[in-house]
Amino acid sequence: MRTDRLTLLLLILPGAGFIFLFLAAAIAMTVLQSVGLYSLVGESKLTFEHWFSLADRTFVDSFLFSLKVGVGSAFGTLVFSYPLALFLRRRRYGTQLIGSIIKIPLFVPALVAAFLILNVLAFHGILNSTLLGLGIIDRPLRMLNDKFGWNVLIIQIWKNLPFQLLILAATLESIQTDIEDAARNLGASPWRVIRHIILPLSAPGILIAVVLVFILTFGDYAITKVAGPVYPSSLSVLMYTEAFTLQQWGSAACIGVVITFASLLFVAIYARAARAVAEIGQ
Amino acid sequence: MSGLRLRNVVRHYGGFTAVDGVDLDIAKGELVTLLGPSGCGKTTTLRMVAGFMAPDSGDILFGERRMNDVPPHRRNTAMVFQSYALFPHMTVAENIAFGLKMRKIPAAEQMRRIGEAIDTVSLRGLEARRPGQLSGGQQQRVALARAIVTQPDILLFDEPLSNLDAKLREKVRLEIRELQKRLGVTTLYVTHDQVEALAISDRVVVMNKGRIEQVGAPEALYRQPLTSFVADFLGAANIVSGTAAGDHLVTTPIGRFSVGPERKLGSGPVKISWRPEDMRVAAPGAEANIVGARVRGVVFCGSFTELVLDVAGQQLRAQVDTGFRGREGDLLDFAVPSDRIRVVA
Repeated sequence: MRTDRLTLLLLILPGAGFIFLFLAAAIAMTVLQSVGLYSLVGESKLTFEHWFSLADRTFVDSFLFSLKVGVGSAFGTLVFSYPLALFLRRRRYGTQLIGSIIKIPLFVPALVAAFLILNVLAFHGILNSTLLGLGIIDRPLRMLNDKFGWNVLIIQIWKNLPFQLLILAATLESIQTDIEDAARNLGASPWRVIRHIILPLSAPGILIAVVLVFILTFGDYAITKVAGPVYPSSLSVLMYTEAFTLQQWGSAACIGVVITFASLLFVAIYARAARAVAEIGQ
Repeated sequence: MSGLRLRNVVRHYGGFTAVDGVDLDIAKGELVTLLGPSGCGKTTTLRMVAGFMAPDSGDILFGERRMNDVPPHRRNTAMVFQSYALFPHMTVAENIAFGLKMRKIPAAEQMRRIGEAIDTVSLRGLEARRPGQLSGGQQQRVALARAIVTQPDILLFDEPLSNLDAKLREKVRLEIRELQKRLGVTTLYVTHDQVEALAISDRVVVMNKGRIEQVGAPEALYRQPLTSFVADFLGAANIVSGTAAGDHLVTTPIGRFSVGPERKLGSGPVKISWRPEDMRVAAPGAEANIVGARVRGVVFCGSFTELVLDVAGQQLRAQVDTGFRGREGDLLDFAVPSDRIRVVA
């Protein structure tokens, strides 16, 4: 038993140790820099001025924008991915093909995705040209860099749909068909089977899908940079600007800490959700 | 509550015919078992009655009502699944309540009926547990309570005992039968276990390759199998090929047998069958239906002794009482009473 544990520890050490070391070191550095220590520019001394400097309009707006994109993308994607996962659950003619096509965005990097959709949504892009050509609109619609960030949401949803779909499909797969049959047999209509059986049994999977997409989109740089509004920017974009444009490394570190700990908070939720899945599986 | 009728029901899976023209009438309150090896179409038939799949042709009737196009949730059947299929996110009480909730039964009556069902299957005190916290036997009881609480027209069982250990299986078998008689509910029961089928049923339907081989009361089926498949599937059987030689006489490579008087034979090839327990060591001087056999194996089985016999290259089985003192290699005469020999197809 003891040697088994030791073997296991040695096996996971290279991978887990590497991640832990660099993650811990990076987080520690960032935290220290945010309070003025380990400064890469200027002298190092303990100070909270960088944190106080965050308490301005720009940071708050960026934080709220990132939060909006994170929450909006996570739930916005779910609106599409869950029904799709339910539909693809039953193997029917063509579901395999649909399932494959839908996975394409998984292989497209975020920046490339942003540029692709840019071409569609741009002022002189495909969509506007088509609508103009069909005489549906007189003037091109402004769909990019809008103040709310709709286009960022659209791109994020497009990009994260297959990701959520994979998680949800696996969750739905784990529900025995016998359980569904039992519900139908006991008088549940198809809609009530979904509401009383499938939805509650897949709830932990839904939570995981939502939390993971939130973490991915909350810290987004590329898509907001390309397609987002001029102001406010996302936290990651703001962090870059602070560090490389304004040379405010301390403030940048503070923003980094905010992004990291907000994400860690959601990872904690994720871990609890994963435990709940394991419990229901028993 | 109503009877169940299947009219020439056919179902294909791709190129495979799972159910091939099944006709069956089940009276109100009767317990009928579909018995057969895996792939014989018994579970497919059951699932068509529940409505999980539709027949490709033929009709399914509850009483006088044609049910082919009625979705499962409007059929008022209740099924006990092999896996129990309990809802893992609900407590025992919530599981049992589910069917009542779906039928929008008033809360007070729900409470009363759930209480009754819980008492019936002796689950008092476990109402707040989740299925994951119950033993296999307890889960089985929840599945049973969840089914009967809805007062179904037809109760369906899909190998409900196969996940229980042998002792518990016998006990639950008796309980299910007793409960079914008390409720008087029409029941279709699927199993591949012939002892279970004989013990629990009013009538047994033996299925093979999607077709019904024979239908009958357990004892009649056991005593008077019509085909070698039924003879062999229900218990063990010695089956010997031969030629009819007169009305009640069959000539076989291992001797001449006079057979029971209830059926006249023509001429040509026939098969005869008898049970191992009907073979006896012949009394000295006996002449009718005697088989001289070499004992190849003696197996003590507790309440009887099983013999493996060799007669001119044909292997036979016999069950004799435990007083048997023969040994392997002995050459002995065995007698088969003519009224125990069946001519089978």
